[in-house]
Amino acid sequence: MKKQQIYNFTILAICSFLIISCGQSETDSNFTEDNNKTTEIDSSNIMMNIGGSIFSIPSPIQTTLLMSQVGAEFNASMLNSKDNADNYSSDFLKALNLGVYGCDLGYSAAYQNNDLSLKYLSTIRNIASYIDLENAFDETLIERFSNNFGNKDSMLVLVSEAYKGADIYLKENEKDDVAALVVAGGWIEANYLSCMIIKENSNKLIIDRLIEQKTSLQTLINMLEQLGSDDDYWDLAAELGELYTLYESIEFSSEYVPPVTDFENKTTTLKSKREANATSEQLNAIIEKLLLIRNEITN
Amino acid sequence: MKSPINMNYLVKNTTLLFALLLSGALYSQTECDQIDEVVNEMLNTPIDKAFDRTFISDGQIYKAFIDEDEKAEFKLTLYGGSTYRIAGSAGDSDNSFIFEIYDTEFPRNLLFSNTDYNNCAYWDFKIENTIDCYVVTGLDLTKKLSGCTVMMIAFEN
Repeated sequence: MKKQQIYNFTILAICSFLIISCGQSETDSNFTEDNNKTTEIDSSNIMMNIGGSIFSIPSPIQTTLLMSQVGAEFNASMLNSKDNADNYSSDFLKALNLGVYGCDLGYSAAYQNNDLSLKYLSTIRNIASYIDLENAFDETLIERFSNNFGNKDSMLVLVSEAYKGADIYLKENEKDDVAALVVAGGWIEANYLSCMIIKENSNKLIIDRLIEQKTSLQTLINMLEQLGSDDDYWDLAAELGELYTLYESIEFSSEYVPPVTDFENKTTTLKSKREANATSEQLNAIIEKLLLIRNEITN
Repeated sequence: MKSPINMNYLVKNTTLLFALLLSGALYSQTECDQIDEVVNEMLNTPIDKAFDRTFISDGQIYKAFIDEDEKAEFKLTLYGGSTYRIAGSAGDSDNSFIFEIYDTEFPRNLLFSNTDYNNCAYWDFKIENTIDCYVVTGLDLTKKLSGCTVMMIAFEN
């Protein structure tokens, strides 16, 4: 009888341990329902998502759209050659360049270069099949994409949806490390394209966009460090860490301005101000480092 | 030497334990998958189509399994001159998903809370100047104590 009680207790303890482990927290953050709309940090009661902390990196497509909106000329020679796809022998490089090519596809679609977009989509489909993502980039996608030639919005929605589908699939299959690489590749390529445009024609909006990457870069590094599964990840994180130190030398200032909400249209306007003062030396150092990193991952 | 009764007891309970754990994991996964679709539909609603508005996903999905008073948090950069839609759900019809946005000042300023708007499942944000912020998500404990939450972010073109 006593043995049975011990056994029951052991089962109960294992169950409790497993349940507690599933909900263990990790991030260093905070939450409060302070009526003063200002909060102090309480690091308890924080949790992690399925597979780790939550990381958000802005869409590379948003940056490629900015390029077309500011009137930067389309330049296909900046993009990663489709022929390079055959040279990526490791899954690490395949996943990283899946992100790179996704950004290049977004760039081509943003400029409504249909032929090139289709070629990049075909390259993406090929490379995706090596890392079990053929379902996210199947024939139907190519067909729907082709049917929407001339409708930039629809083309970009389709590309984004395909990449979101890949992200969902990878995370559901506990391949968060691969998902992180796809996102990292897209981030690197978008900023590489910004660098190339700045080198050719110092567009202020593109420069601002490049300088605004400090927080995203920090998130990207944390993501690779936390989700990475081998030395390649740590090496890339270290390279990006060197880039981050260049960002740290830039002076940022911000000022809180109360937001304004339009309840009827379910819209809140965030009006806070932020300024960054980067010297041309700081900007050039960032550009050179980014070009180096991008060339390392694509060549 | 163990008696056959204890051995049977051991096998039965171990099987039961694994069955419970497996069914729990499968339920959570299915629950999360169903929420994906619900949230995705919020990014481009029929009203948006009627007004010719298109929101483009950032290509990522933000999932968390939240238990009781836990919160999930992540940092986000929103670009100036853009309009974003943030949508989320905990997989039910009573708006139990809550999210708040804070700036990164010290101490933080609360910029938005959907609890002020009946836990509205999606909301748009016009950004005048690029801003880094914290998004904090959780459950309205008066409606749901634990479960999968899914959030998506899209920008308007």
